[in-house]
Amino acid sequence: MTRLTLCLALAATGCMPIENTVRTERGPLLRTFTRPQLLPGALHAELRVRWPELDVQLSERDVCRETTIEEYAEERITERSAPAAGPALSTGLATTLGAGVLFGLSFVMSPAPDTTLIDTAGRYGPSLRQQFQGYTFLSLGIGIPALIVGAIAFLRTGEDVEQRRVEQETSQKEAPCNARPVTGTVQAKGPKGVSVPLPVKDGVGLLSAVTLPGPVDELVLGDRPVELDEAGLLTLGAFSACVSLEVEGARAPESLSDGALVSRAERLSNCKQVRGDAVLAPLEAAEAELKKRRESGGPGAFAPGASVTSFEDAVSAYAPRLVFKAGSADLSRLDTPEQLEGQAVFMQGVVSYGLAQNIGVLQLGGREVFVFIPQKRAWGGDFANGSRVEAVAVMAGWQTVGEKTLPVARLVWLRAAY
Amino acid sequence: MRLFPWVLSASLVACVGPDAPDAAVCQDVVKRLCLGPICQSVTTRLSVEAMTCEETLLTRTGCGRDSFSFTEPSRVQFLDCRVPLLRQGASQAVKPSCADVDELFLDCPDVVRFFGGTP
Repeated sequence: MTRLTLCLALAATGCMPIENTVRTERGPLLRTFTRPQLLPGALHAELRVRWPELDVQLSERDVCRETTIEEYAEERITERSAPAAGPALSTGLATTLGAGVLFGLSFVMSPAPDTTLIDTAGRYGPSLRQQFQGYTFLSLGIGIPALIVGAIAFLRTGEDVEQRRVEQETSQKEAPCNARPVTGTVQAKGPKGVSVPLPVKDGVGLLSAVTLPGPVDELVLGDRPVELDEAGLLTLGAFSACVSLEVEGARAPESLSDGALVSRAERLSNCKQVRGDAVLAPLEAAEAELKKRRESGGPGAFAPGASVTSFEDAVSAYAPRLVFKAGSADLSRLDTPEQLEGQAVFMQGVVSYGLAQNIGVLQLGGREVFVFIPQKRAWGGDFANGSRVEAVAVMAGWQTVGEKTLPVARLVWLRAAY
Repeated sequence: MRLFPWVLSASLVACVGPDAPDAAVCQDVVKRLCLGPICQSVTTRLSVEAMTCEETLLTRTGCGRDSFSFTEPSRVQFLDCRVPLLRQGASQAVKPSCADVDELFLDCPDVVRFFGGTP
């Protein structure tokens, strides 16, 4: 019975909701300090070209991080309130006091039983005193639990203040540190599956262009990539361009297609950064050929079948099998124009803008294409920007003008379209 | 900790008074049986007149005296037989229905004999 009563009291207090409100107040700045942190190291290489060799200085460096931290005092204040505690207490007080009054009045009442009533058990009805005392106990039965519940809830209300220190990071500095040489075998990797071992001892390794089957663009030690700074990336790119030219061998610029010529000129220009004047002559030759083609429209302009006299002749002579116009399925072939070099195509679109007298841009649906316009051309007419045109042309790979790199085609015939 | 059962039992005790004496219980039944208009079964089974029913039964049973106490039937038996008469109300001013009176006579031949009637 004692446990039952205790459980009932606890259950009754459980009905009384306690509301918790938490607020945080920041106090004054206590101190400012820096916290050093050492992050796991990364591989780093410095590169230098002494053609035909690439010097590799390989080291492993940690990252030393310094975090500036401001420490503040902070108070976490938890306020507990029980909105029902007041009503419960007042109800308990009122009914308990009422019980006291009833109990006092009961002694004024007659103790004589009610003889006008005899119940089924043969007992008289209760006296007025008994009735008042019964009401007293009923009032106590309500008032005392209400008092207990209200009092417990009231005792549970209050405020807890937890004082603590909080840190706030204000700045962070990182710098490489603890550089140490590395010994191992680095793999020099490149496109087309090129992978050449590069032994490194005490941080020093030598990669010879003679042993390379192709350009490399990545150094890896085990499964850890070797980081290169911006200068290192440029050096490796230039070295790889030189390697690529060596593998390709000497080529006469006149014998190259437009795309191949542009690619070679770019690689020569890149290689010149590490080999200097050694590649100056072939670079100038390639650039001269490029200039010549830009001005003349390229050798394709004078290819067999070019001396057509009408659009229909051009279609008949070149028999274009690819159609580039809005909605055409062939437009996706423009992703790899190097694979289309020399192929005749039919184009229909809008003159986007002319970049120079001998070159223009056609908008074909969602694609743009450079078009070479030969100086000696049989068609006439003036095609302003925005005019609709159709053309027969021969694809010639990629072309870069300024910052724009687009597929390029040499025009055979151009006319207005309706 | 023993407050709850104490309050409960105290409240229950407050609902009833002391045991009524046997004479008061007997007089209560006589009053109910003789309350007018008197049931025909009372006059026939107990052989009493409507006008003198109460005096006749009190005299026959002897429960007009304060010293009266039940022997045959016993107090418990008498109280059990009295229950149908309280169905219309516990107050003595409420007349029991004749069906309840008939039930008393049918179920309690000892009480009929106690009142000097024929079961």
